[in-house]
Amino acid sequence: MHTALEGLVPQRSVKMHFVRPSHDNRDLDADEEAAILRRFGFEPDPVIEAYKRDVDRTLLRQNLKRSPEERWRNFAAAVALAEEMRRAGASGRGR
Amino acid sequence: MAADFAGIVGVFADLGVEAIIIEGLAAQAHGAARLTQDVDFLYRRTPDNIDRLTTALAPHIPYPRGAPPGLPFRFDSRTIRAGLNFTLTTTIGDVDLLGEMAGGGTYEQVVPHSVELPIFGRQVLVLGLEALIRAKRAAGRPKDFEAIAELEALLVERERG
Repeated sequence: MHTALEGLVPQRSVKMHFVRPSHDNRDLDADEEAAILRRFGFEPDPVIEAYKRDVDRTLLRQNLKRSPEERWRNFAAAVALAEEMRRAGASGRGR
Repeated sequence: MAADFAGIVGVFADLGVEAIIIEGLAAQAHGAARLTQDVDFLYRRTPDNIDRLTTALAPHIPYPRGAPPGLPFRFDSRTIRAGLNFTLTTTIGDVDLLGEMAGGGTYEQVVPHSVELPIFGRQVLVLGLEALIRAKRAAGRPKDFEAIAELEALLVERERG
């Protein structure tokens, strides 16, 4: 079966970045971002680029400084909080 | 209920279930900020692995998510062999078991594009960031546009350092 992953460099040969070096937090311009995406074979898509304007980069930068396990632990805490808020909201509405 | 991610990952790892974490939880492992409530696994469809998978999950009472109660659903190897993709509730959270992933293919096709991460004291296979983006782009589902935007932003942030 043909898949979209054909031609992609196998991940096991790619160095994982768990803790990234600090940088100036400046937002890259569209051309700089496009150049990075093209290195991985992704042509910028105008629809996706429109959605990208709403992505909070500060959250991503924070997450990239954490280990994968720290990311999952924070995520599990956020899910538990969301669940509790849903329960409280339903309870407040008398359900 | 909120998923017990450590518990779900643990029951699979302890019994040596061959499965790759994909979708939202894989995105989380790479640094995404969007919330998801379930754990999606791409599992290997060999008879031995299906046996291990059902042994691991059966004690947690899997049941088809959204189905009315009381269906004669048996979570066993025969059921898994007869189907492909299952969306389940369990006592440790919602779990999706996929025999094939949209835009990615089977376990064997996807495993070269996964990374082994040390999480909750176990080595866990997680779909790589580039493969996650490529699979979602290929699937072309409008519901994924926001996620793709975040994953691409994540790739850029990871690489710009």
